[in-house]
Amino acid sequence: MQARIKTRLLLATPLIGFGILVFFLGIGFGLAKHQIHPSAVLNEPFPEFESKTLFDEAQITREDLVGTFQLVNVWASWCDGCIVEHGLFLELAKSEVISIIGINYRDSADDAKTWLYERGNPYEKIVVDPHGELCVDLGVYGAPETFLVDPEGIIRAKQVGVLTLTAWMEKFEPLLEAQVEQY
Amino acid sequence: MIPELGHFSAIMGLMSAIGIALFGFFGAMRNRSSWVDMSIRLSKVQVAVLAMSFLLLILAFLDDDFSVLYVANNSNTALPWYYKVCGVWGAHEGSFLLWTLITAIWTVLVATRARHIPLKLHGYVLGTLGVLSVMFLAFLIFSSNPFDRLVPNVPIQGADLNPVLQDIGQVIHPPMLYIGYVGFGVTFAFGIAALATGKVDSAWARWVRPWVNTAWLFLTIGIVLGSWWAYYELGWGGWWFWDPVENASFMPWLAGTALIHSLAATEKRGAFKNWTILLTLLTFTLVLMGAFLVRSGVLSSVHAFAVDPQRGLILLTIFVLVAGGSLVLYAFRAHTLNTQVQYWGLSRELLLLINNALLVVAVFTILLGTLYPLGHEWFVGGEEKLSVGEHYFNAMFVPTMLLLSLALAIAPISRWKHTPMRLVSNALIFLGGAAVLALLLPWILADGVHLGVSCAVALAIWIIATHVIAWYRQRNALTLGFIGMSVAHVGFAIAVIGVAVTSVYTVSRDFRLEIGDSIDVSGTTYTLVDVQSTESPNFIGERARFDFDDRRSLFPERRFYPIREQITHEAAIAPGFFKDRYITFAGPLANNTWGVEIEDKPLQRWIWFGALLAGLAALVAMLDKRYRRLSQRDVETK
Repeated sequence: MQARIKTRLLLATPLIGFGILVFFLGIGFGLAKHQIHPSAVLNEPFPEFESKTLFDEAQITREDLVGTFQLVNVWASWCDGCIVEHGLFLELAKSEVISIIGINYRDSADDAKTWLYERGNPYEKIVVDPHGELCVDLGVYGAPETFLVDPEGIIRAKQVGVLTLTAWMEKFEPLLEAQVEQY
Repeated sequence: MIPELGHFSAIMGLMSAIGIALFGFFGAMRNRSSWVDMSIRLSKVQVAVLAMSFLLLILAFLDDDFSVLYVANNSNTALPWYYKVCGVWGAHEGSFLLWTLITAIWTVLVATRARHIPLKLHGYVLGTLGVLSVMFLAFLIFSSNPFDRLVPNVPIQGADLNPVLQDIGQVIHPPMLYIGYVGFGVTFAFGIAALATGKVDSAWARWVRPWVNTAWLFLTIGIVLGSWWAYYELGWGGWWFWDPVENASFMPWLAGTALIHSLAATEKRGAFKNWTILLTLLTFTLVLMGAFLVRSGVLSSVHAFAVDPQRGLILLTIFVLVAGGSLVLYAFRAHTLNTQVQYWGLSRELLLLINNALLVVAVFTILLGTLYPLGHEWFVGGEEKLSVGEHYFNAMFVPTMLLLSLALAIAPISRWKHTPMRLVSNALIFLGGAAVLALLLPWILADGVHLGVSCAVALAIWIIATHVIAWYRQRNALTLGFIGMSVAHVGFAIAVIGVAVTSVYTVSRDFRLEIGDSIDVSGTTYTLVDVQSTESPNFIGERARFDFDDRRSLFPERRFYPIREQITHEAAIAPGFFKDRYITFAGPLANNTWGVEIEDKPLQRWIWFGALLAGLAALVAMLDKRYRRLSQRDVETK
């Protein structure tokens, strides 16, 4: 009788081992889920920069961004994801919820202008970043990426990849509302 | 329209998979041959619709249909047609479609080629394969659909295929791996069916063995191709990196190797039944775990696919359901299979047991090294991601393999039940000879004796010697099974020599050269003759010309792919039986000089040659006449 129980227990050991394995995979997965986009820039001041705007080639610096909430969107004419999220930006611009600043990332000015001409321009101002220096400071992986910058110039939220409506509603809008009340 | 048809075909595949599972399981439970026949018929439908789906995705790539998101992300009009085809399995969604197609192919093969096995067993096997198909296809359709559209705003140009994947090795490497992985799904299904019917005997082992060998053959080819691809494409001369994704393919390979050996004991002696069944389950568990690790973004790696938390969650669920479910079944049912088989001393049973123990230890060592970073992150909570290096793996893995070699050398002279001492002592004489040879060879050929290399080479020569002698003694009664076994073992020995010599005696040097400079590496003089810029529709770069040995030249290249802003180094390799010459071109440095790395890698080819030899041996063993079909079902009905 006892031998039988022993055999049964022995045969259950793989299952127990498997349980431990799944536990570790699970926590690994939980960690990965939260750390997929480690954001070193979150809650840090928007980096200093000095560049030109796309259309009127006027001087633009960090000072031009502070004062109100800004949605800063890194985009380029060669980027597919930017086409996907473009509709949302046009909507946001139309409803005037927030002012949108574009950073034109590693692009040629002509391509960028044609792209905007064809699809509509949601941006209040567009900073050109032809060599990607500003984007390196921002910790950008690739276009598109989107940042929420508060009136004091602190980055409050960040989206890597396409800004979906869900991401906007869950990550950006609540911050905007909460902090508008605060100011 | 074409992408929608492809999507629809995949859904049809899911429907047939549900049918295969239901008719298979219930047919087996109720013992109805008409239901199992229905399952067989549906497996043909499934393979047809999934092949259709796959062809339609290829068509979307050839058409440059950038309205399909997956095509837009992984192809480009500038890409040559054959890379457009490879782009189909260059990223997660398409490669998973290929995975489901391969599952369907294996299913239809088992359905049609294994009609000789008992009805109940066949039904359970097909039912299990059907369940696997259902899960894979549901995952594909609901969270990894390669046919998703990108509308409106269709891009006029795609993002290009990852440049390191634009290569011939990449065309065949993933399909081979997947065939091997899913092949172990077939042995998994046989394991589940054995637990369900409660019958594991020598006939069962004979039915499973050809499937295990085929899966193992393809996995071996896949791993060799992957290693060869990393060797010449990633540059810098490495051929194995202990990268999590490589480990993910290597662990099932080791477990599968253990399974092949344990099956031998189960077939011939009815021994290790429980253990064999457990190995069929564990091998596929490791396959699924690998799929989860690679496709969920839990571990970072050069090979990892794009990260998506939702996908990871679904894969984890599949993993827990399939592997966990099978182990629950095992815990409750395996005791019915227990048998007592007696053996004494250095019997073949004991050697196979040692083989299995060591291979399982190797699997756990690698598993621990691969998952350690996760545990560390959780317990210590460090900010930086930790990764376990080559040092750990080599320190743990190499001694295990040397012990395995030791057991392997006695294998061909061993007997079932009990091996006479006379045979063992005869074999030991050869060990002496091999050891002398192993110490002399490096002393004659290279400068300096390395103790580890000598040990490995001595063991390898000993393995080859004992197998040749066993072959000679059995020359009048050679079976394909025996030939396969001995050739596989010799292949292993050759690979051991290659690994040992190449890892220790490789000479690698970095230079900063001007045009016209000559340098000397291991007795060969290399001259940098010139550097020319190269251009192709999707990349620009520089190509250097090195002359050596009078009339021979090598052309290493550095390429820049503007669309993805990625640099690749195309190493130039002069392969040889005794050594490879390997040049990596790092590109321009200051003052008109060029960065170059030159390596001299002795016996590099032996590693892959040995592994492929072992793979082919598995094919030979499979053709042994005892695996020819005996139509048992016909016998039963007569």
